[in-house]
Formats: sequence, structure tokens, C-alpha cells
Amino acid sequence: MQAAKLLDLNPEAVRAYAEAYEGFSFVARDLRREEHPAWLRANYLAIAASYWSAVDLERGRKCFEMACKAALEQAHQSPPETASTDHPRGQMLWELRAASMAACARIPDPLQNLASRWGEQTRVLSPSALMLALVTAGQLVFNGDHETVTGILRHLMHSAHALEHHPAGNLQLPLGLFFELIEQAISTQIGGESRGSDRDARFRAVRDWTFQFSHRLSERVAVAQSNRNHWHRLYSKLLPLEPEAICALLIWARTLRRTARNTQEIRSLSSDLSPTMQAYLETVKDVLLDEDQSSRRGQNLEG
Amino acid sequence: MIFQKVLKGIIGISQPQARAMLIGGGITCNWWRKVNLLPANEIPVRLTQDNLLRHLSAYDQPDPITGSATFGEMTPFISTTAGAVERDPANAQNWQFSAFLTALAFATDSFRQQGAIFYGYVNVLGKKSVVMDEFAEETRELNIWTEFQPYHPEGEIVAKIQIPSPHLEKVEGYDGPSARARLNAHKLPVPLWIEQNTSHYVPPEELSNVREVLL
Repeated sequence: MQAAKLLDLNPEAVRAYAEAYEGFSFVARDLRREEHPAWLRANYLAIAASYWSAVDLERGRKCFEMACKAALEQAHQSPPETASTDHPRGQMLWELRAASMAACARIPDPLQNLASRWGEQTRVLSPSALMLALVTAGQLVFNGDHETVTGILRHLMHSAHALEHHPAGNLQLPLGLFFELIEQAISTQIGGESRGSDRDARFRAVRDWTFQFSHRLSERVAVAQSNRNHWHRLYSKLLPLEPEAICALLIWARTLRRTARNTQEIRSLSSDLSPTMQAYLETVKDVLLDEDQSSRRGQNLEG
Repeated sequence: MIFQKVLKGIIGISQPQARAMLIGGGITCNWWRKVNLLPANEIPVRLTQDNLLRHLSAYDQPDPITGSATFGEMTPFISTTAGAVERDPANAQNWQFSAFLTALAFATDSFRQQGAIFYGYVNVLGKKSVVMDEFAEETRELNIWTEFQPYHPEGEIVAKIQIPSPHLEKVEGYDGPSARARLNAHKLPVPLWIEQNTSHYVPPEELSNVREVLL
């Protein structure tokens, strides 16, 4: 609810559109004479999930889960070889989208199954697909066995170094911004617990990235919001809560937790951010809260 | 010429009003509803490309020609939808916008009111023909209408002056909140009422240009 207001959306209207798009993804096939393709279902469900995330986080999660399944179904239907040097294979693009939705839905399996295969396929990745690969595989950096993922991520970034300034994804943010985020996550995880000036330097780097990302995100959303009809009726290519940005901010939040001195430091940083970024953080906080609860349950079992 | 099927959502009309339009005067433009009888000599003067672009992209802004508060109040055009496909280069794919969902959202003012969806067809040429009121404009077709249209995903086919009764097959009344509740339950919205145009509707399939031999 808070997220919708921060994004200048009427929560009741958002709920109406979320219900309409989610429901329509199931019934659209009844209106069409030909088969209802999985990509269309994934499309409607992703739109609904984005809207749900602004008003009802649990329904957003469930909708992302359904969107992930539809995207995977589409990936398996896509011709395996539609590659050119400019465009990724259809199958892989849908796998990437599925994985980003899985990250938003807090379901780890598709991420783990898919990420290990991406390392060898970077030659055919477009900047947008590469960004999706980074922010989805980046979710696994903080898992127990992070060495393989770190290797894949470094390989992805190394092979795409020349694309650093290229805009990527629906947010059209430069790829370099995502490289920076991944580097910070990796160095935090590999470096482990740090103290003193080392930690201060890492925290400053995370803080600088935060303001840069927040500024860029707000700019992109402000452009979409300037057309009120688009923003309210969902004709904009930019969803109110883009899965790719949720994924990036999940990595950011985990990195921040490991670099900040205390919760006061995190709070002071968060309070200076733009309303758009705050809206995204509403969703991210919920995912992390769920993660914390799972981890506590795990610890209790061990104890 | 192509018979293009279209949907038209209208907010707040009752079943008797919808029936009267279906079997009577059809769907008329706002200009006709304000000025009756329409001055025939003014029709070609008002059917211009500039006015059409105002109808598409500046509907709520003042009309510099007539001086009316909004262009929409006195528009000679009638918006309908046939759905649209949008290119998404960032994701290397195309997205489809449903004509039904667009018409339903319009008819019910974003699922808040009651309204009606008309089902019918208009004649299009596959070329611009702005001044000819008997042909609609396929403004969603970017190979013909190359100007940037902010509302392109609405999939607009713009009719002119009137969509006559023989072009209208039926009209369905919807309650916005009920339609929303049905969709929320993953079911198709059910119309509150349906009116079929059994008196005047001419199915376009009967008009296709196939001549039978005399036997």
C-alpha cells in the first residue's frame, strides 16, 4: 500500500488492474480462437505481479511465481537456435526472465539450475539479457557455495566489458552500474567480515552506488509518470516495480547488511533516498524479512 | 477494402439507451450529440489530419478551432479498439494488448462503474482517407500512421461521424466491480445483459467480394 502511494499510484486502482491482468492471463485463451501462448500468459502475469507488489506483497510473490512458470514453459517451447550476434537465443532470454521472476518470488531452484549454464553462452547475450543474467545469478553470491557463481559472474562481466556504457533492460540503466553492484557483492562476500578503514571504504562504495542507482531509477520512473494515462493504465513499457530492479536491490540490500556498521547506519542511508527507491525497498524489505525468518527457523532446528 | 471488427466501450449507458443506439442511430460522434442536425458542409472541414491527431493525443485539451473546453467535447471522430501489438526492443520481443480488456476498462472507468461494450465493424482502406467519413482510420497501423502516438497500445481504429446500426452486431452491459471480481476469480467477466442487433446487422462475411454464378 505504502509502495503504491510512493509511486504516485492510487492503491485501489492498482488493485483493480492487478486483479484484471492476473485474471485475464487465465481467461484470455477463452477469447482467442488460436492457442493462448505461454509468452502472453507470462506477460500478463508479470504485469499483474508488478502491480500486486505495490499493494499486496504476498500476492505479488505468488504472481511472480506463476509468471516464472509460464516463462519457463515458453523457454522450453522456443526454438533452441534463433541466435544472431545481436540477439540472445529465444530460449535463453525466457530462462533469464523466468529466473528474475523466481528471484522476486523467493523461489531459489530455477536460479540454481539455470545460472550454471549461462557462463558458456555470453557470446549471444544482448546487454539487456546480460544484465538479467547478472542480477539473477547475483542472488546466489551470498549462498553457501558461492565460488562457482562468482566465477560465472566474473566471466560474464569480463566478456562484456566493452558494453559497460550500454543501456540495458526496461530501465535502460548503463550496464556498468550493474557490474559495480556485482563487484561490491563479490568483494563483500569473499572479503568476509572486515573492520575499520576497510569496512568504511566498502560502505562508502555501497553508499555511492545507492545514490547513483536511486537517482537513475527516479529519473526513469518520472518519465513514465509524466504520461498519467500510461502510468495508470499500464501502457508504459516500464512497470511500476520492475523485476530487474527488485533483483538488483536484493543484491544491494544483502551487500549493505554486510558492510554497514549497524542498523542506524542503514537507516540513515535509506531515509535520504527518493520516494521511488523507497517504494522498491518496501518490496525488497519483505523478501529479506522472509529470508530472515527462514534462516531463524533453520537455526532453531540446528539448536 | 477491409471489414475491420472493432470494440467500443462506453461508460454509464443503460440497456435501453444501448438498445436504442444498436437498432436506431448507431454510435454517433460527440459533435453530432451536441449539434443536431450536423451541418453537412462542415463535415469535410472538420475531418482533417490535424484534428485526428488532436483526437488521438490531445483529447482533453482545448480545441483551438471551435474554442470548446476540450477537443473531445466536439470531436467528429469515434474511438474504437481492435487491440495492438507493441515492439519491445529492450526485451527483443513484441507485446500484445487485448482489445477486450481495453474496451472493458474504458466502459467501466477502470472497473469502477457500469458501462457497455459494442461489437461491430468499420470499413478501412489500408491507406489514409481522413476526409472520407465512410472509412475509418487504422491509426494503430504504424506503417500508415507514422507519427508518434502516446496512446498507441489502445489499438485505436478511428471511425468518423457515425457507426451505423447495420455495422453493430451486439452490445454487452458490464458492471465494473463485478467484472473485476470475476477476473480476480480467474473467470471471464459475464455481461449483465446482452442486446443482439437482429433487425439491422449485416454480417461482413456476407459482403465479401465473391460473386456466385446464376444457376
